[in-house]
Amino acid sequence: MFRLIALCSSCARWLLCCAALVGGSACTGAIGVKGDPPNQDGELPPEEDDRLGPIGEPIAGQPPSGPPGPRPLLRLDRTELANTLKDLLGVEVEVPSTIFDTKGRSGFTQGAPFTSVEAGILVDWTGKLTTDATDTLVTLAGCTATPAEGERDACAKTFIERFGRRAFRRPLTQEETDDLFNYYRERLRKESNHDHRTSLRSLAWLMLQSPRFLYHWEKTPGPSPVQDGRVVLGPHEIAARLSYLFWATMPDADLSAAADGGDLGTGAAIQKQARRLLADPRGAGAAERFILQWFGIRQDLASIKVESGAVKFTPALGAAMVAESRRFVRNVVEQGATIETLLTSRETSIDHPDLARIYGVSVPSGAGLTQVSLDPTRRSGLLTTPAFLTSRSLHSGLNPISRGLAIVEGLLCMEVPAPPADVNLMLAADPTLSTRELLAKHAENSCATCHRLFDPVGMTFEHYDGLGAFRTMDRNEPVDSSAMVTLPSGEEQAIANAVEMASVLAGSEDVLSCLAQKFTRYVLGRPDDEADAPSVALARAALPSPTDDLRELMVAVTTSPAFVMRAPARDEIVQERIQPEVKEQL
Amino acid sequence: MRDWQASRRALLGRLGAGAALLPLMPHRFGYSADPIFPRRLIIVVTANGYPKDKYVPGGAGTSLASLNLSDVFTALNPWKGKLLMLPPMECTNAIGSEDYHRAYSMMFTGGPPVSKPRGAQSVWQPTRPSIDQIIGSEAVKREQVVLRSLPLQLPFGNPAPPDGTLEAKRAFWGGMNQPVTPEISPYRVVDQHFGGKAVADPAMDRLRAEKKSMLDYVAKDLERFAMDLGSEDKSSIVSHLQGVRDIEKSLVAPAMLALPGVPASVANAGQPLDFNSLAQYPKLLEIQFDLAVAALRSNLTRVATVQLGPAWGDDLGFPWLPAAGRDVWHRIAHSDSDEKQAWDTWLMGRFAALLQRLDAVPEVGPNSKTMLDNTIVLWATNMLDGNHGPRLPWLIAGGGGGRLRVGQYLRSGENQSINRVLTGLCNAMDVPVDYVGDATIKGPLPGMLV
Repeated sequence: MFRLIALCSSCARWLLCCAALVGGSACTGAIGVKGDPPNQDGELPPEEDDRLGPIGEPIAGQPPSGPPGPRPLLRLDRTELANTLKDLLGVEVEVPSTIFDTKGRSGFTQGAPFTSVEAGILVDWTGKLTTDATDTLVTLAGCTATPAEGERDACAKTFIERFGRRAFRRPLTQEETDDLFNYYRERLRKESNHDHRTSLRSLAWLMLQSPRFLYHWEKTPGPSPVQDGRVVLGPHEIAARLSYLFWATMPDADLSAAADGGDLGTGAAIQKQARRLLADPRGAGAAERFILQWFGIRQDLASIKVESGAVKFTPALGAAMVAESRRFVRNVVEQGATIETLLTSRETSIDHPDLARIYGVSVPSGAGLTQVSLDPTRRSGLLTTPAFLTSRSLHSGLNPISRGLAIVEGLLCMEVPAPPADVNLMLAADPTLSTRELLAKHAENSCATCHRLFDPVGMTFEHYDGLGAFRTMDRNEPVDSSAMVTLPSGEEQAIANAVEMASVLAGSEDVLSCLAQKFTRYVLGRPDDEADAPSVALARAALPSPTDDLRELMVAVTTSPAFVMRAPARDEIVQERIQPEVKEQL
Repeated sequence: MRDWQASRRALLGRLGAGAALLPLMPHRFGYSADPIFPRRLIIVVTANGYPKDKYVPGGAGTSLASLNLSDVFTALNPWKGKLLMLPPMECTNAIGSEDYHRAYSMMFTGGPPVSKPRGAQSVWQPTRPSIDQIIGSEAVKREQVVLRSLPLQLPFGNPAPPDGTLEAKRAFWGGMNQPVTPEISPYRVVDQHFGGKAVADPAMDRLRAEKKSMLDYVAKDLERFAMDLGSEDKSSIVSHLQGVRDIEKSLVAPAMLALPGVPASVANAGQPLDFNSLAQYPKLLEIQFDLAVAALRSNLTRVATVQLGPAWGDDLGFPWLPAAGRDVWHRIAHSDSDEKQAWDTWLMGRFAALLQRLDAVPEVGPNSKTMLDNTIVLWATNMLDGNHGPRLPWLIAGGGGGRLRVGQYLRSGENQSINRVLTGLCNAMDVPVDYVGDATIKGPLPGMLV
């Protein structure tokens, strides 16, 4: 009980959240409702929607739902690590290649588990970073580098409070502060060459090894308070989630102050912050990061080996492809961030002659970054960019498999089982057959059940070679990109080519539903399940049509159960926190 | 004695291994059979098997002296007397897989894996610890060696999934969600494990002391942090914590151990050697093998592992070996091409060179003349050939301190479970489990041990 009061009493407005929880005997798990949809011009609605109530408040007319699923422990990924350290230390940061990311259960990038190698690299790497940043760190303490002996302890405590608050993304507990202060004293005492300045640097070095810095877990230490089988995240947890979702870094001063002041206790307040973050130049990258991962566009095309006929692949070309896809998405976001534009736009910019050749456009030599309008009969949106087509190329040349899967699983969320035991790995061994003829073999065995779902979708992209250059011949046969495509509804539709495929997808309700599901997974860091259905529904409702701004969906998710709550993890020590008499006290 | 009995049971339980052989477990730590030199294990991990029909030696009988090794394996001819060639054996828990590359992550664990989707493919995450961890943990406990294992790796190219997934790059695991991360940088290995006190450097000593003090705090912080987590998340922190503890141990190691010098191949490599570059593969392979041998000689660990490629090898080409062509390991393995034979022949040459290195170190004891006699080298792969599994053709060399029956092609083992080889290796390394990973498959492979 004391813990609850201590937690909540730090901020008056946060008590409102607690009060709402107390009253929420029939909590729906759906947190707040979306405001007006964006208008026809694609403009975002007003900054704050007063109808978004306190966290946990039941929504009238909504059926009760259970708590959301648990929230996995995730480490900061490479981008987050680089951005956070840069913000913390004020130095340029390049993450060592041996601290790597992996594709998580959600299907999206996350930090890979740490073992002795990564932990050792982190020690050495952050040791150098903190040494380089020592002067900045000293400044944070609010004292000179050589304070008078009587002021030294106070300076150290100020540093611990300020740097710890930023590194751990929440205020430190008294126990944590005392431990760190003891460490500071120990450094001074044990090491003859350690002065105040170097000891502050040692403190920073230490805090950067802490799991409270390295993992997305901004909870105050101790049992999680639980009511009705759910843990409502605290204001600092929500602030960190917002900041990492939209900026891929730690909360800034404004967001931190909102968390400290208990100003994130309502859905409206959370959305206000979400919109502020999105409006910032750093927020432009949020949609870009998600979209590129959603489409499965690799960021390491500069380092892969690709076979192609028309244009010779080079690392520089791979890098140019990635950069072009980023500019393309960034432009789509600036144009209103609609799914329709994403899948149908023909406007892009090119700065590499071979990329121009792949696109079949001419760019004057030495012209630098040049805006181009692509042939509407050959190109349509992100799916026909060389970055997507190359990312989904296979060494075997059977690109329709990979490209079809990317669309069927990624954009339509259709379930595709794993390949059967008798899979024929030698399918590509016959060089006399065209891709269409080779893939026809899938119909002859048990592969047909699944391949009929994605091979035809991929076949509509057969006019593009391994690097995405338009082609008319496959070996000695004219390319035939027509296919009978099975949609999620089971309906079959004849599609002539990739441009038509993109057009169908651009108008598809299924893509919007899939986007809602994928983005919820992206936020959750794990696959969604039944318990997350309200969050997915909330996301879907925020994007009624392909001509709406998908950033509305991103904002809407920030007040969903998936974002602000979690179920206790298995075997997690929890504390049933809310008691009736507390309500009276509140 | 009662406490020890209890701890032995606890150990075996934690290792997921059977306790039927508990009474046989030595009551006193050490090496009663060969008190001078310890037994060591090197596991080399390759992928994609060997060209079809090239593996099984020609001729009748089991004595390798009278059998003919195919062209690919001719480099091993001088080592026939120290070779235990196993026939293709079933990776039991991989049976029924649609893609046998995936055995890579679980073949040393013996246990059933958990399937994880990775785009168009799926990968396997093991549920049991691999034998390097089982054997290494026991050695750390009873012999006060510093590391459970020294995991090393060669450059893999820049693999995308499925090779880019964690499970395709990690052959060794402490258990579910606990991959053992190999070290690709020989410089870091030297820095962490071989630098030490060779040269008196007060500044380095101070830095080590500060790291030690800091990591001690971090380890306690991780323990406190884990208390707030659920069981699944705790396993990630356990792995992280173990990593921190390993670093702590390595920081004090040089003061306790008589380390040999840095291997000459490292000292002579010059700076900078790009350890991520495939062009440097031959040089790096030589260095990583040298480091493995040096770590075993210096009692830093009893187990060293070297991963030569990921599970598929989709981005691992051979720019230094024209005969292997310009394609990648995975592609050339799908056919019995000249390129694949050239690549495997080259690898066998490296295998022979590793044996030569070990044989050049004198270790005269009751059962040995050289370090090779006290060492077991397991040369493993995840497939039979480029298109088939889950039968694994594994090669073993060395004497294991007189425990291995070398000089034979153990024909009778054909199609038996590879788990029995894992159990046999544990037993040979003085870890007397009666199974590894799967309690339904007990005992070492008959004919494998003395």
